[in-house]
Amino acid sequence: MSALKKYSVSKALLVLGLCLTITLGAFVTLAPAPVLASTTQDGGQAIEQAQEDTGYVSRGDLRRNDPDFDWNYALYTLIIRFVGIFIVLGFIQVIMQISGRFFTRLEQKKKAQAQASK
Amino acid sequence: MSWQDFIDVLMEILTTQTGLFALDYKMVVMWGIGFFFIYLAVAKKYEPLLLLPIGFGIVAVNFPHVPLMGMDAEGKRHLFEIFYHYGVEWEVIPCVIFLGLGAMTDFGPLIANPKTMIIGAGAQLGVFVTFLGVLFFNFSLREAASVGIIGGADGPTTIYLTAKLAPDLLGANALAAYSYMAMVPLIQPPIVRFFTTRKQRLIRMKQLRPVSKLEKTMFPLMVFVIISILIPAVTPLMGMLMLGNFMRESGVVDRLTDTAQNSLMNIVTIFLGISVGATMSGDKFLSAKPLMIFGFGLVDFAICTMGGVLTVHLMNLFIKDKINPIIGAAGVSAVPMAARVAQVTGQQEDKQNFLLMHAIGPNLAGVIGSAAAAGMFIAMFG
Repeated sequence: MSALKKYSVSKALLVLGLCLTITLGAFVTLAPAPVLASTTQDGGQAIEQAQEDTGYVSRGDLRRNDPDFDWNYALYTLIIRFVGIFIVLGFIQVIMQISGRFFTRLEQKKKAQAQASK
Repeated sequence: MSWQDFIDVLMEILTTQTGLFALDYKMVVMWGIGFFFIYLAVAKKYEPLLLLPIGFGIVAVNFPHVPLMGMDAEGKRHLFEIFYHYGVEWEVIPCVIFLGLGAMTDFGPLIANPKTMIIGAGAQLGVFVTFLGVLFFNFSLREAASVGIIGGADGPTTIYLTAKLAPDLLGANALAAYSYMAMVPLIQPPIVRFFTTRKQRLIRMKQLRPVSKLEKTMFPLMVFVIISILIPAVTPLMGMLMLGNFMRESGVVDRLTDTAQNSLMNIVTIFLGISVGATMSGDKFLSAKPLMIFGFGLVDFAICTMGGVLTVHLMNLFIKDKINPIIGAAGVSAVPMAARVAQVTGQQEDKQNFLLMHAIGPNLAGVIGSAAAAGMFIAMFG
């Protein structure tokens, strides 16, 4: 039973690792400049620097008919972010599985101690 | 004073101080829409807590000269404008609602079966598909993101994201989100039946393990830390959800928990409903866009449901204890409606199959998933 549990955690970690690799790979190779700029907007100075360096301005208000509209950007960043949700939730899942095992053992120990003291 | 002077004064009063001569057909159409939502809330009991104030808000702002939305000559905000500005534009209300939701939610079923977390991610498929689809209809990237999130079926998240990215679409998006949440029992079962076989729908799942108090208490802290590191853009929303849940599970602030899940929640729900309704004046609302948003919202919701079910099929290829694919539909975050629908759909095949608690897991994962999707969009375009 414990071997099976161990296997499922390692499989989950493997899947997580693969997702991470694919995402980072896509992130670096497909559309580095615009994607990097858009994800660092919270950084304030970083976005300003990116704008200065690349002439890139926020693309959020662009429409399909605008000359600057880039379907590749929309598609790449979308795929990356959809995979990103799996990574975030997958990461939480792995942590929950590990902590769940820890807390289950803790409970079992407590029960065993309580029974022994009786 | 002549008779003519009297008539002139009277006419001036009637035209400038009453709405009699300023009514137009758009306002009347909006009354119809507003009263329709009031009817749905009162007679059909569809999401009455929100559709009732939204409906009233729609009717109220569609009268000429009413000082509700906008500013007076001295620049002072009108009543509904104050609710909207400080509640929605400042993103206070969605976050406070998440605090109340956290205080009301027992994450036990999700903690007991963490695998269901992945279903919550898969059920966001429609959000991204719709985003691309909407772009073809000349919506901007920001607008497309705010329409896409409707499929996540999470009202506060939709409002939070739309207020940030496309405030002009707030009324239509919020209304579409809450309407489809209310229509979960009509929309989901046919989709679930289409994408599953009877044999799959009969799968019985293992009983969930009991979750200790300590584990439940640690869960919100853990999720808060992870989300804040990985998707900081959505920390205000998820942080409040997890704070509410931590207050509940810690058990040491019962008064605060009680306030968050009852009084505070009720107060902000009133303000939220009115604010959303108040954004829907005929001039802004009566165009092709809201109709398109309603259409895309439905497609979005259907794809999200499909995404959840297909994710379960995919997971079942790898796991030993199979998951009933019906609970995949609960991956959209209409809590607890989608879980209840999964239970009813399951029992139509097997009366002894109790899926409710199993479906609550992906349902709660859907809340986290849709907030994560919103965070991704805010990081992109915020």
